Amino acid sequence: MKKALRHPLFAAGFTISLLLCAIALFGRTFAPNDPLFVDLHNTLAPPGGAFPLGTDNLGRCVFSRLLCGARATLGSALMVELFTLTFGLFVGLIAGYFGKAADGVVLIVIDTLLAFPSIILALVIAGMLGAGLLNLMLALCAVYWVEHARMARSLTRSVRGQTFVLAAQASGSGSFSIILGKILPHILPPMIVYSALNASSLIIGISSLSFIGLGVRPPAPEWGASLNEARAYMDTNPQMLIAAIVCVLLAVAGFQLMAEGLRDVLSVRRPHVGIFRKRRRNAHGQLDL
Amino acid sequence: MRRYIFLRALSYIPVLFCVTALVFILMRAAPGDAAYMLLTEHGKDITEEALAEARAELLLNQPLWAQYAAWLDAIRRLNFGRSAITGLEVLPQFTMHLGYTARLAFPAVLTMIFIALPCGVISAARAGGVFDAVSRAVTILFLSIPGFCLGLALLYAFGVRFGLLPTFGADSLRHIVLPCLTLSAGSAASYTRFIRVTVLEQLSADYIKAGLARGVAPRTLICRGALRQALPAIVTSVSMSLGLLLGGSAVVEMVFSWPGVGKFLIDAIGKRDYAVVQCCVLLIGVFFVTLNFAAELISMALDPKTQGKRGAAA
Repeated sequence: MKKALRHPLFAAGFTISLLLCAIALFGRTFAPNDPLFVDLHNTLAPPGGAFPLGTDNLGRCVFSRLLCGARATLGSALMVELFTLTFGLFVGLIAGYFGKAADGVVLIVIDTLLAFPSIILALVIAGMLGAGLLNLMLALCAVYWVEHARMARSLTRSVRGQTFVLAAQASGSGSFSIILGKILPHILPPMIVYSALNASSLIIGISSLSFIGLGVRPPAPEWGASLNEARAYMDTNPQMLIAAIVCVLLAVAGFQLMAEGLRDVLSVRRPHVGIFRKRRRNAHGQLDL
Repeated sequence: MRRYIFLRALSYIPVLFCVTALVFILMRAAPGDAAYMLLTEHGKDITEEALAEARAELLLNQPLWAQYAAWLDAIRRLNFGRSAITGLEVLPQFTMHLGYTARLAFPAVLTMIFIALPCGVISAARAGGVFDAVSRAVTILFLSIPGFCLGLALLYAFGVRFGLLPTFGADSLRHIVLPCLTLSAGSAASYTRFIRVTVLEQLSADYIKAGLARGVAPRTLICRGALRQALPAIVTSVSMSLGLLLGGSAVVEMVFSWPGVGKFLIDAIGKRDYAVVQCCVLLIGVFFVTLNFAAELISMALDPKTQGKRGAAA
């Protein structure tokens, strides 16, 4: 952890994400106004005074709505990610380790679900289930575990034949203790990097599906929904739109940066040097390759 | 070679079957009674007999597998049914909207290649340099903006603030600019990184070192050597991204009110127009699978490693 925090990208991403998670948890108590309080005498007010970012078309405080909306967007993204990571790991490990019939079944399910762009499939499932945050989360869970499972499966297969696994098998360890004790620790680092990346695409997914009206139900605050509300007033009250965009951008960037940093920290990669760059001459006056 | 292609094509058949089964199950699991909807659509009175008749007509009283078989048969004859709202045949409508999406996706892919290829190659060639650092920062920024947010930001900047470009509509070239930029920005960022990594991998290979040692110009080595080797991987992922753009631009189409497949699908979901949803999802899936197969074939044809085999087979 200490080593990771010294990495600038990871540190930046971690700080942003931590800050946003704190807002998601405690935003409600810091919100200057009630995010649901409608005041039709004070609609579309410019920023200032009691309303740092002005009010929306129903006179609700834009700033408070964004603060409280963090919980819906980030919280559900993290919960879905937790589920998809666990379930994908479980399926991938079993299919990859045992092979044969289990692998065949899993593979065909994976291929089928990957035959669609994931956002389209999530959109259709969420649409069929009807609007609502829980339905949206279900739809995302149903779609996004696949990529985790595919990755866990191929990582497991690449490890399965290695000596340390064979040794464990030869010494009579049970399948499950091998999977949990030997293989899981081995494939966890790349899976964690991927799940940080996936969390960022889940934030995108949740906010875009809410944007088209499949997420939270209207009065509840959520970033994608806020974007949709702000869109109609972008010529008179652009701060509504810009603030919501910045929120989504920060959240996604936080997880992207974290993934970027983790990738460097967890896998030992030799830094490449480009061949167009000026190369130093060594002691013999030759170019270093 | 031909035998290999044939076998690969065969392996896609179970996937296609599962895709149809998935779409069928999704539609059956959707709430709402199809017989009831058929009656209201035709404006008939809803009585017990009429409902039973409609159920028989829709094969709803038959076992599930028989319904599935009948449905597959209809699809084989390209009969996707009619929209419950407009009463029009679904398939011609779908192809019309597909045209609009393609009008957006092809320029977007071209823009993406124009940006990503040079940026990726240069940052690989000068890995660790200033250009590399800048392009890494810019790519992370663009990867972090969801497409629809970027679209809204561009709409605000160019459409509303400066009034340079129209904010919605799909009639002229001027309408294409903003959605096309929106679509290509995100994918250009991810392809810049992809190309950078792929080319870098090649650059650390021994044949590059050997070439450098013999005094071959780095430019030649990159263009003739590394890029040529990296091409199959790049072409594969570009053709996959074409599919992603065709299917995945749904939300961006909503932002710009662009009448593409995505907007068609989302509107149909909103109105619970199941025939349209079913047709869109199925065709997007089939299209995606076909594209994957095509990408695989292209990369096989481009890969210098398999060319020897092809020569042997011919």
